[in-house]
Amino acid sequence: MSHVASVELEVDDIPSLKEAAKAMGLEFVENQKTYKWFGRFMNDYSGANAAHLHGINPKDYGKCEHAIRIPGDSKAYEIGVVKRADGKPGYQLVWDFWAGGYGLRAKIGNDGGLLKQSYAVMRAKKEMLRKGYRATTTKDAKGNMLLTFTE
Amino acid sequence: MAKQIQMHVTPEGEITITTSGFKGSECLKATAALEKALGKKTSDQPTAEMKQQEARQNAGTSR
Repeated sequence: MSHVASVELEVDDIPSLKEAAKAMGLEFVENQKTYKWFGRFMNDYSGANAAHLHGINPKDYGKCEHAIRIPGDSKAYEIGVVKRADGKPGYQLVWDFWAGGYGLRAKIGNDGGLLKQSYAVMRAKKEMLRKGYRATTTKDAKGNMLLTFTE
Repeated sequence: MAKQIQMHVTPEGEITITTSGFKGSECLKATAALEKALGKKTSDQPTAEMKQQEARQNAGTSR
């Protein structure tokens, strides 16, 4: 029996997020309670990925539990790692992508996709190695990551 | 056939998990922890291999 499942990523493991950030050349700053952004809520964006549509109060923009930044780049905005707005365990990643976050988007991809990809790879490997599987990882020309787990 | 779990992650962070070589509902058990670790399962479809196995099992039980 075989099946195909699609999974919507949720971040619940800080060590895997740290590894993901490091693998991308980013710096995970533990317990940094603010992240760099424009600094004032302009209420000028209501796209599907707008943080305020995902339970984040605009009054809390700029506040976080941890932050991720591009090392040595004082101009780039930063990523805030914030607790899930729905109260469930885990975290949401929040950043200001105005003007591409001044270099941040180029690093983490549209909608943070590259960081999410890196996290998913780290989190999956951690879980499956713990269960005794062997893992191989390959990347294709389009940037897709393929992980193969065997017993 | 070796039991295998393959995970495909796009640069947009979209995740697809595929299994092969498992018997019965083993594959669902094998991927449950992985799916839970990664987030929320949004869809789950049997592969052609699974449909064939189910058809063979149904044929066997009706004899």
